[in-house]
Amino acid sequence: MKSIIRITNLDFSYEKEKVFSSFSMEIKEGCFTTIIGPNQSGKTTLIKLMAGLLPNQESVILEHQYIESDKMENAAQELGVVLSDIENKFLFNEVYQELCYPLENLNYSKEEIEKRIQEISDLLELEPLLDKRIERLTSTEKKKVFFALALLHHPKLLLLDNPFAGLTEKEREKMRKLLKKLNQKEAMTIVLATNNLTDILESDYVYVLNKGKICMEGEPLSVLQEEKILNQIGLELPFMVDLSLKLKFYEVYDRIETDMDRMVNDLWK
Amino acid sequence: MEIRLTNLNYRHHEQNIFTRLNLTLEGPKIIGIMGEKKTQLLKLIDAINLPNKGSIYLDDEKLQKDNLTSFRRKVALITQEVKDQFFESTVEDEMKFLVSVMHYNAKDLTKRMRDALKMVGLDDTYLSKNMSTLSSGEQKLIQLAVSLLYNPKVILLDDPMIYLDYPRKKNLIRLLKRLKEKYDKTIIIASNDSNFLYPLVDEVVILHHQNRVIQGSSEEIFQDVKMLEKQHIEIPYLVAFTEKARAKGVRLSYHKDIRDIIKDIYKHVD
Repeated sequence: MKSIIRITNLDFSYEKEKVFSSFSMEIKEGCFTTIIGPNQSGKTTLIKLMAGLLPNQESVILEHQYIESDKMENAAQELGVVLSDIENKFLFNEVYQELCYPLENLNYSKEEIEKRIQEISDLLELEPLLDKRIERLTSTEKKKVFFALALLHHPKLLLLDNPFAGLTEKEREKMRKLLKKLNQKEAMTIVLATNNLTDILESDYVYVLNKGKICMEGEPLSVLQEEKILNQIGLELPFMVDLSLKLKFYEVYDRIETDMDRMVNDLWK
Repeated sequence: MEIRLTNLNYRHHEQNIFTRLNLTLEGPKIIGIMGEKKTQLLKLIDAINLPNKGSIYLDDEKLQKDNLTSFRRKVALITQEVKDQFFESTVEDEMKFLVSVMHYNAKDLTKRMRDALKMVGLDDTYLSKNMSTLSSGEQKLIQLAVSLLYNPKVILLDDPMIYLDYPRKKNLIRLLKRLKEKYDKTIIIASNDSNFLYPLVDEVVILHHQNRVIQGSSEEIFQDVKMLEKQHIEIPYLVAFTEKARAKGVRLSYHKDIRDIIKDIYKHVD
């Protein structure tokens, strides 16, 4: 697989505070990659660098092209971004207007716009929100609209910074499955930054980030085996993951299951 | 150590917070406080806020206006938000300042400060660090270290796990257990996190409404699933698992440690 993003020897600081020094990372095209790390490990900065929202010394390359803010127009069509601070970034009062705007900008016809919004609202179950005023949305609903905005224009690459914060475990699972579907059916490359170990389950490849360095990488299952390292850097195994892994060790259970009812039903039919 | 609230009335911002509240907490124990108005209760026990009516006793000493200082020295409150409470720049100065506020004269203060920091899991280098550069979690641990210096009998913690990462959480849990077992402290934790409290506390108090209180051992409270649901309190994962297995006719026992439930599950599968 070829890489869609290549970061080589990146140095990056905010004023005094150094975040990355000679940092390298590759994101493979078509891959669902998760970047997991505790607070202040550099996740958000990394996502912003990949999205071209922060300046750098040409060390972040998107498909052979250096990403920087003033050359973003071309790249923007290929990118969908969901950042974690979600307040106050809507342009319009109503959800439907908000969703129309980017498509109008891309010169979609009226029919095409309607069709695309229909598709997106089916996908994300947005139907009941479409004619609502943005200010009346709950934070979970706002999150969904941001997801929709990031996905509208069929991006090749979706960058997500802690997009599930505040969601319940059931909602998280739904969103993870949705990402997996986009990744498999639409061949979308996904980069998900999170601090919750449950979120890595659906991904193909995981980078564990700590203090601006990659301290582990690999497939989700192999990463989860390293409980000690994960705990040391401040990541806690979620209860169901912990339980699954321990039962798996005793050969009582064969996979990681995050739904307690399903596990109980499997164990005692 | 016994904390006794009798017929307590407390109003705050024109609102009745507690009305004829009666509650007795006996130590040394780790006690969880859940439900509404937890912080208000801690502030009353710490004598930061005074009740409008009724009395608060620590053992046989009744809280009165003229014994506030001696009362407060017996009780330490580790608050939820800490940032705006620091007056001094370095950790050492802050610790010295707070000790002087408590009118507490300690010998070998610097050595005792080191010991206190060590107990909460922070090393010597923290003494010279600037308070404002510390994370919220670290500030909370410093607050706890300061309180250990004047040796209170009761330690109140308001939602202590917020802002702490996993290793610090583990460390704090170890420390709280040791403070109870070795130093006979009574530790009162306000939190709604059932998964954190269930294996840690001896006793739980659910503040229900102004004067209604549900009090019981950790087992009595956290294994009473119907009551928890009624009180909108999360059922601990470990209890929920046992409940679900029992609903399938599997005779799984209740456990407080994931390793124990694993052994039990192992026994009950073919």
